[in-house]
This record gives sequence, C-alpha cells and structure tokens, in this order.
Amino acid sequence: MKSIKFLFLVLISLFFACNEKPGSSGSSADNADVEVIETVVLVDDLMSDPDAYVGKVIELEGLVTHVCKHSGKRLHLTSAATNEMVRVEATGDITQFERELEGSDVRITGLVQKQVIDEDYLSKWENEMASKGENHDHSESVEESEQITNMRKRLEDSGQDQLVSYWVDGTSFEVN
Amino acid sequence: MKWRKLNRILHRDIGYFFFGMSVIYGLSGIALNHIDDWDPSYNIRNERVQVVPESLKPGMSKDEVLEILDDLDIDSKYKSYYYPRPDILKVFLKGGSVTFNIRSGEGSLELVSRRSVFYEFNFLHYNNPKFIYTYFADIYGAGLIIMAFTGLYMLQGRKGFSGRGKWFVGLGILIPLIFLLFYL
Repeated sequence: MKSIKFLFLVLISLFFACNEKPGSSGSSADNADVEVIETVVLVDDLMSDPDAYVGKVIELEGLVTHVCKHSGKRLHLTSAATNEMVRVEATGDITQFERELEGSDVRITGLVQKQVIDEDYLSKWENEMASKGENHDHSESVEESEQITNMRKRLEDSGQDQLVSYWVDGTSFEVN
Repeated sequence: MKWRKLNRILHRDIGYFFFGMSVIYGLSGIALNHIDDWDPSYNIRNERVQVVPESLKPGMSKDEVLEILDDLDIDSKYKSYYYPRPDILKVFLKGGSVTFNIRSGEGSLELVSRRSVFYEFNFLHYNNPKFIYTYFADIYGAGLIIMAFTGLYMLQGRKGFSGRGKWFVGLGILIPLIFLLFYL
C-alpha cells in the first residue's frame, strides 16, 4: 500500500513539475534567427504588402471567420472592414484551433510564408514524383497528381504566369 | 517469482491502471473513424430564419444587427459580424452563427455546442494538452503492447495461446494484413 501511495505522489509531482505551458511570446528555438516584428500587424497591413513580411515573425490581429471543421489545423483571419483574408496554419504549440474561435478577434504570433506556383514549380514537382518511382506511396502519388492538375488548371484560368499564396504558420495566439 | 505469475500481475495491474485511457481512446477512436459522417466533437443544429429584407443592408451598425437578433429571438449571445460578400451578412454568436442574404432576407442559423464526453475524449485523443500528457499517452501505448503480449500467456492448455488462442491471434493479424494488401 505504501508503494502505491509513493507512486501516486511521484506522478502528481511530475505532473506539476512538467506541466508548465510556455508563454505566448511565440518565440521558439526554430525562430532564433528569424526577424521578429514587435508592432502588431493587422490583416489589412499584411495583405497590402505581404512580401515585406515574408520570413518574419509577426503578431497578427484579425477576426476569425472560419476554422477548418475536419482537422482544426487552419483558420481564416479576416479584416471585417475590407474582407482581406489570410490563412493561418496551426503549428508549434498549437495543436488545433477550436471551433468556438469563429467570430473572435484574436492576436496570432507566427511566421509569414509565401509560395509561388508557376509552371517551373509544377514541373519540378512532377520530376520529383517521377524520380521517387515505385518506392512512392501509390495513393499519395495519385493525390499529388491531382493537386498538380488542379493547380495547373487554376494557373491557366487565372491567365497569369504564376499564382502567389501567402499564409502564416501560427505558433501561439490569444483571444482579444 | 515464477514468470507466469509475474505475467499475470503485469497484465492485471496494467489493465486496471489504463482502464480509463482504454475507454477514452476506444470511444473517441470510433467517433473519429466516422469523421466524414458526423462532427465527433460538436452538435450542430441548422434552422432557417426569415427577416424583412428591408431590415438588412450593407454597412449596418452593431445596434442594427442586435435589433435583428432580438426580432428573431435568438438567445445566443452576439460576438461579431462581417460581410463575406456584399450581399451576405454573417453574424457570429456564442455557440454558432447566422448568415443572411441581404436581398431576400433569408437566413441560416447554425447552433453549435460541444458533445459532452466525446469532446473531452477527442481533446485527449488529439493530444491537445501536449506537454506531459504526451508522455503519459506514450506510456499508455507501451502498456497496450505489454498487455497484448502478456495476454497471450494468461492461460495454458486448450483455451490458451497454444490451443485455440493461436487461431484467434492469427486471424487478428491476418485481417489488417488483408487490408494492407488490397489498399496500400
């Protein structure tokens, strides 16, 4: 009986000793060399000149207008005034975004990312898939092929040489 | 101590200790398996609502929006609103949202509430607490493996592993293998 009590005490001590959540600063070892913008950035600010923020950690404020129902891994942060919207992915300490966040004003700390999709990018992707050959997972390669086809169609429909996508890899957030 | 006795003690006590975790992961596992058919964490209720189209317009103030909610007798507390499209007004509520077509006055009320038990179980299954819970869940996983192996040697004779047990074990391994063969 004594040993069970001892084990219980050890478990409780471990729980309180280790269960300290990191602060909401969003700085992490991964971001050690990344420029951090100290002032709060609004969705409109970000989307008016997104390239100025790419590769930088920002504190982004906006209205949550959508949370991914299936995974909770992404949300849409919108400017209620202009309807400008940016996607935020759940990374770092954020496991999931709760559905209840919809309609809340939040401040999210995260790294601004950019992806340029053009014919060169799609061709490289196809070549990578081909080089993986038979070792590549079949269902995954079917999915990737579909993605490439869809992106190529979007590119054609846009009538432009490239599509540019910006998003934020969120590492922490707080509800205002 | 004889190894069979130790085996039995391990199987019994690990089973006792992880009873709660087994129920949590079993139940939420079933719930998450059917994620395409239902929302495993939330109850969602949809209702049609109708307001006079004249009461809706672009650029409404918060007070005007609150008035509409009041007319509709919507109990849920107001959170915020915005216009996803010039002709669509979306009002967020605590526990849902209501979306109006400004031209027709038609609206769609979505009321969302957490599924009791399932929400909490899924929260743990997704490892949302992170930190030390991650290690506890890892230990649970290891405990399941130990229980699986010690379970093989709980009984001797005709009903033991060397008797009919081996056929059940074989069948239990064969079924996932068949799925791997056909779907991988």
